[in-house]
Parts: sequence; C-alpha cells; structure tokens
Amino acid sequence: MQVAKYNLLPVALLYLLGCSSGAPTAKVEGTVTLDGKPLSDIRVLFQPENTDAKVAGVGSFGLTDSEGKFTLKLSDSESLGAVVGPHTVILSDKLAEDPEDSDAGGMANVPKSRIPARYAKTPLKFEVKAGEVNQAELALTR
Amino acid sequence: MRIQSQRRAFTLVELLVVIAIIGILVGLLLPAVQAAREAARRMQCSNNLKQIGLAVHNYESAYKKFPPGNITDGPCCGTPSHTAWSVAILPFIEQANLDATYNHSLPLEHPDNAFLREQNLATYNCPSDPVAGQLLEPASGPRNGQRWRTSSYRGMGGVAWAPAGQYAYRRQWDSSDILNSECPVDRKGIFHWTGRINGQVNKFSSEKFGTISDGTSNTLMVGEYMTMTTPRRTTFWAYSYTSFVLSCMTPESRTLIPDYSLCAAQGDSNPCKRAFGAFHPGNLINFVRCDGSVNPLSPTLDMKVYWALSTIAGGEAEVESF
Repeated sequence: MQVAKYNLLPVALLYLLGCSSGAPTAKVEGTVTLDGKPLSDIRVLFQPENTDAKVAGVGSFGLTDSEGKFTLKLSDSESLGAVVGPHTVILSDKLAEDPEDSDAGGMANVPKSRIPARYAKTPLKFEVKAGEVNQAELALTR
Repeated sequence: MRIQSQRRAFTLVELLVVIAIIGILVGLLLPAVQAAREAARRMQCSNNLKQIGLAVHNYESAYKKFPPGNITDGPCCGTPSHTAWSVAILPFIEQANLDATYNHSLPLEHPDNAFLREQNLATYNCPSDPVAGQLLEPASGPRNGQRWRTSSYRGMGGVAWAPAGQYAYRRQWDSSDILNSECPVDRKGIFHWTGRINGQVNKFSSEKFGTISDGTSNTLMVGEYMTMTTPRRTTFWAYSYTSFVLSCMTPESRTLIPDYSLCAAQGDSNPCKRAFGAFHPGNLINFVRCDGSVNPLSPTLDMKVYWALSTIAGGEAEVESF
C-alpha cells in the first residue's frame, strides 16, 4: 500500500541520523589475583596511552567480584569495552578509599591498600586488541 | 448549463504524502536547529572564559602577580573561606560595586558577606550548564546550611599527588593538604591554595608570569565544570573552600566527564570533586590558558598532554594546541 511506504521514510531517515562513530573498542574481561589468590573489591582502571595521536581515547573501569573477576565499561558512557590500543592499568583498593564526606585524601582512618605499592610506581600495561574478547589476567605478587 | 466537473479536493493519500514530506523536512531541520543553538551557547561559554582570562591579566597588571587560587586558613576540613581567584578579579569584570560590599576581614561564610556569595554573575555562568545560577547548599565544608550561588568555571590547582601510590591519599592543591607532605612542587598549577596555617603565610604564594616556566600558552588557567547528578558538587564561584571553585588534575578520563555520580562510581570520590567537564557535543571542555587563548579539550586526550598542560613549571616537553 502506498501510504505505508511513505510513512516509513522518515523513520528510516531518523535511523540514519542516529548513527555515530567513535574510537574502536573491544570487550575486556579478566581477573585480579595476588600470589595466586583472587582479590575482590579492586578497582581496575584502563587508561589509554598516547602512541602517535594526541587523542588517546577515553578510559575504562571495572570492579572485581568475590572471584576476582571484572568486566570493563567505558568511563563516559558505561557501555562495555575499552578503546583498542595500549593501556596503563591502574589498580586501587575499594576498601581503602576515603569516605565521600572527607574532602582531602588521607584524613580518614582507612585500611591499608591490598595492592603492593610497586604496582603504582610502575603500573602494569595491557594491549587491547580489536575484534576479540580480551582476557586480562592480572597476576600480582607481593 | 455547466457540466459537473470532478470535484477539486485532496484525497486522503495525497494528504498523507504531504504530511510525510513535511515530517521529513522537519526531521531534517530540527537536529540542525538544536545544534546551532548549542553552538551559540558554547560560543557564549568560551566568550565568558575569554573575559575571565582578560580580567586575570588586568589583575596581574595591577598587582604584578596572579590572584591566589583560594585562601582558606587552617588544616583541612571545615576551614573558613577567604578570597579566591573568582572573587579577587571582581573589580576587573566590572563588578567593583559588588566587590565593595565584600568585608575582606570576615570569611565569606559570615552573614555580612551573604550578598556577595548569593550574587548571580552572568559572566560565571555557561549557558550550556542548567545547574548554574542557582542557590544551592554546597555538599561539604563550613557552609552550615547556607545556600551559595552556583556557576560553571573552575581554576586549575595543579596535579594531585599520591604518596607511594596510595591512591586514597592523594594530596590536592586546593587545601593545606599540600603542606602535610613533600608534595612535588613541579606539580603546581596556576591557581593553587595560598592560605595560612597558625597565622603563618605558607611557602606557596601567588604565581607570577615569571614562574610559568612551561610557557603561558601551554598552561591551563580556568576551565568548565558542571554536573547534573549530585548538583551540590557543582561549581560555586564564591565558595573558596577546597574543591568548589578549584579543580586538580588526576590522570584518569573519568575526571573529565560532566557527571559527578558516574565518576564517583568508578573509584575514589576525591578526584571527582576536582573534575572538569561540560555539556558540549563530544563532552568538549573549554579552557582559557594563561596567555588568554580559549581552546577546548576532549576527555579523550592523552593524560600526559593533560598533565603537561596542568602544571606551570613541570618542565614537560612543549605541547601544541589541538
């Protein structure tokens, strides 16, 4: 029928307008272990590194569960994955965070971070590859 | 006698076709109109930054030094607010009469200074920020139930420092926190804390053109911050207490999005309180640099570039604008 064909046109146009392009991303999941034991409640932050371009891409974040497993989401949109390319991996202990109402770091009495300090001085690196579910096995040692 | 001709009228199908064509045209036009409106708002936002940059330069000409980032006296938390960069430049953005109402010997929390802290200044509001220009109670500090005026622009304090990688113990450049440790001086930004502890002026004083050794065009001065989630964590132009008129750089993308709650869901909340971010297409954030130029930064920029732009004397390699 003629009418239906014409009414579908604007809908199709809107779909075309809605398309957007961004930096290529790939799914990343993995585990965090310390001396072979899984670590829960660890913040995993992947921060893209500059290679040639000045635009490195937005970072990704995840939180480990009781089995030390995490899945990364993009920092700005919460959609799954991380930008393809080399990343610096920043690990921090959720249980060692200052409470929200303390305005400066280190004011509250919080437990010591379970992440050994040397991983902050020389952070781990991870290369996110396109077109696959990347497995990030972050095996820490004391 | 006239022959009855076919009646001139639209059939249902013709009518629907016309409606469909109008629908398509409106559908094509509306996004363009909305984009043009946002482009105009963004231009207003960067024009405000240009005015702020000029005012800071005029302040420097008058006093031979830059305004202080903020002045709060005593060790962290709940310290009374004195002046800040945004209050100090009032006479230079044609607000000399407002500045005359400010009793400098009293903190901004004092009832005598209520007129100043509640004043809505158009130059400090970015039209893309729906939270700017409201009276809200800031989320923390000595505000004690008072409502302060929200705004959109924050000064760059410097690069936060975590001793021995203890991320929960980041030292921030907007309070006396930076005195509690051997916070590296090469992380200093243009508008850092210059308050007093025990009545003594601390080692960090206001900056001068000569101390910006990285070059004025490679150093960020003031940028936008706005958030719809947790609006009490947005910018308050006269509230000089720690993180409401100043932000600090943390090398994580989450501190460059205009969403406090989303940032805080991803880690320690202290870097989120010192974030930059704006509701422009692509989440671009307008910054005025120390040379007075206004450039946008994207949250996708490399953190080494952002770091180098945030310090006044880090000695990092030259960084071009992009």
